[in-house]
Amino acid sequence: MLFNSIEFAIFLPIVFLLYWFVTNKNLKMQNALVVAASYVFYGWWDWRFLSLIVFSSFVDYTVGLGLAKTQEQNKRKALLVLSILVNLGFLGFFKYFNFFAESFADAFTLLGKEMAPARLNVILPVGISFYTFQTLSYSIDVYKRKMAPTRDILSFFAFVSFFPQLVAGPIERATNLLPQFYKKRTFDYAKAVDGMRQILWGLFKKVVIADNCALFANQIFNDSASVNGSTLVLGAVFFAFQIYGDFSGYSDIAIGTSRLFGFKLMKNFAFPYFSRDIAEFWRRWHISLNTWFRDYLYIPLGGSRGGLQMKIRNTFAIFLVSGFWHGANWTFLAWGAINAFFFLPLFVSGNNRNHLGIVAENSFLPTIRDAIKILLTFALTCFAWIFFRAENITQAIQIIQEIFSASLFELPDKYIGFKAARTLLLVAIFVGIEWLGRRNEYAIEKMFFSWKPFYRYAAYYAIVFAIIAFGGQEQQFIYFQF
Amino acid sequence: MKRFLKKIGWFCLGMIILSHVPDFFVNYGWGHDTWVAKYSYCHSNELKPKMLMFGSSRIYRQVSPEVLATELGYNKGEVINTACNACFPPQSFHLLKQTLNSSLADSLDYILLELGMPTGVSQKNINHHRETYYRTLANFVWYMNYLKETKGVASKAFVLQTLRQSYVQVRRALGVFDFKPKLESLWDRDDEHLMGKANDGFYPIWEHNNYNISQGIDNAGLEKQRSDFLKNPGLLDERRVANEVEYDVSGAYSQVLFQEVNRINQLCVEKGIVLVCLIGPRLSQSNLKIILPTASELVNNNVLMVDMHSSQKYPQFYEERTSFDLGHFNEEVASNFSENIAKELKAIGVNK
Repeated sequence: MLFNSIEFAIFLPIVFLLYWFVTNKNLKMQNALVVAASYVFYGWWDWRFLSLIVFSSFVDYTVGLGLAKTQEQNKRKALLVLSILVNLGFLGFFKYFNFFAESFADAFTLLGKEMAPARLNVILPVGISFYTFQTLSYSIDVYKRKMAPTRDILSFFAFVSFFPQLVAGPIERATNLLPQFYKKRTFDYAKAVDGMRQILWGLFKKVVIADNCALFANQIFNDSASVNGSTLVLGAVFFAFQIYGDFSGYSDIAIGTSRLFGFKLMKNFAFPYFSRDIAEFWRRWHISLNTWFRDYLYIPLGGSRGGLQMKIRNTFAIFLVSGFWHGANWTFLAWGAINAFFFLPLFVSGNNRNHLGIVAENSFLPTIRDAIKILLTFALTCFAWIFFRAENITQAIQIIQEIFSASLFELPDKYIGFKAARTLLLVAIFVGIEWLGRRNEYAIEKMFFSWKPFYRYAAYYAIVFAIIAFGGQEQQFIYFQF
Repeated sequence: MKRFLKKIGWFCLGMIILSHVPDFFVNYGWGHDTWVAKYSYCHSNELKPKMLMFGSSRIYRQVSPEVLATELGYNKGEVINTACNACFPPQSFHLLKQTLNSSLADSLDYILLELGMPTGVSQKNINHHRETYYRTLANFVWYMNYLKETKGVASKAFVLQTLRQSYVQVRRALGVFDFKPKLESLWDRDDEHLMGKANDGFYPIWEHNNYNISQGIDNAGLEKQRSDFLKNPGLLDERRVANEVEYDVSGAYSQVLFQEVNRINQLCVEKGIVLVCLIGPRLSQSNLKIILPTASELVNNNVLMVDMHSSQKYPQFYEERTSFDLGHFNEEVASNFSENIAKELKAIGVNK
């Protein structure tokens, strides 16, 4: 079920009313409703893959109980390995089997031996990369004794399948989300209104910005061989805003929806395109995944405690794995590697934590120096996005070659007309609003508070009608495929 | 919680009201592709029709204006079949009312209107673009009234489903940004073949079927209709039995349908046009139970009626060999259907 679908518009109020009016007296009933609603939400897409979630939840729940029973290190390790094998096994089977089989066959072809790769004709279950990481975090945290294992199976199943963030995050930590299922939730008017506002802003990002940008990004990338350099630059910019609007929009809707049910999810995006260097960008982009990799991969690998070589190795590892997490394609690995190359000079020179606060914290506009840094960081990000969006490495290289040719100075040719200009104007308005709200959790969090109700509601209606009127052709959320 | 729900409720109500504001500033746009083809043909050829027909494919595909013109003493081009595929109330009523406001109505003497169920949109057409343009505020109110009138959870759910599907879609577009260009693009299409061979709007289903095949156009819809029927021709016999029964027409009728047809009749009277309603053959039992009492009430209210549903009177309309699919005839009986309509029209004094 998509957040921007009519089905969800019907589903959400029904679950909301049942949650607060029918099951509100009994915590177990409320958690059971969350599980049931989450399974309906997920099963709407393909009910067959529900079994994977159930199985994965069951394994990690059992592993947690097993870890509680034994103090023997070998047994504990074996249980953790079991959890990792099951979760990553599913992920590997559905997401990476064909990639490895093809790459293996390609490698043999390079050695002069033709080989037909064994391919699996399976579809990728939606959200598998998200919920496997979420449930894995539980096993690892219990193993590391960061949290006590749960004996409340309903709460655990609700934690794994919680529908607002089930298919595209934020990837929650068991330490943050699971305890929220143990406590009785009470309806909080202010939180619910805040949630609605965040949902509204998320929908705006998705429907107005991402879906409109998608139209041009798709056209330009699909026809990259026949457009000039300036058009390709615009294509990369459109894609940059498509992926940001799409993914951060989803996160906003997820966080806002959770607020309606009395839950607080972690922040996933913090205005990444206002970053002044790549290190800051990575602290502000897909925070839940990056901190996951930091805590469960980078630090166990030794983090930045070792020498220079170790630092470089670990940095590369985290960026490459992050790229590979996004998809079984060399383009994602290249995207990860490029970002590692952008990040390493800052890291090695100790400049990776220069910008910890938000830009222009105490002023309306950034300094010229900051503005240049923001633009430069955005340009580097767009460069890396080319690899992320391209079908293959060859296409990405062809696009970059065209961009760095004389055609960069020509006027954009195909696909750039009135509608593209209108979309760019919408993007400009969006960037303006995000800039004004950059000190908040999300752009419009406190934006209209000081306004008189008439104007405040006029602003909300304006956003709703912008969604209605400027909504692009419905596109699936990009991160569903990851 | 109450405060929150109240605010959400008021906000949604405000949205519905605000979404209708553009209706007052935007010109009306025809949204049915077949209708646009017919309307533009009549205009570009400066036709001055005396009789138009409104309704679904059961009129569009089965009533020949040529036959009617001959039987009723009209000239060629004076009787036009303006019925359209998948066009049921309130869409057909909406088109009729808009036509009354157009220059096409200036020369009219008669309008033949097929009576159908108040929410005639079928499941397979529910997502079609043409199911959106007629969702005006007036039709919204009508729908709400029909929802109130409908009995049974399943029926109510279906009314709600059709409403949310098309109404939300048209509100989404606000009739201004995306929707208008879509409607306008209908005018650029080369759909003259939809007027049929004689250019009088009669386009038999079998001819359309052949046309699609010859042009390599996706014909899955028509083929499915036909193959579904051939797989289960027994359904036609069920329809035959349903249309054989004498129904109690004094029972509950549809207030919504009755009032709307009456309103249309009044509009016609004001323009000096005679409205004739038609009950077609092969209706299902559930539809007959609503349409027949409503028709009876309309007749009591001086609305002219032509009733073609009886399988006793017209057994030829209920035979497998005369069928293209469950709802439509093949060439064997279509002209006979037109002749019989002409006879009935004559009997009630049309063009005397």
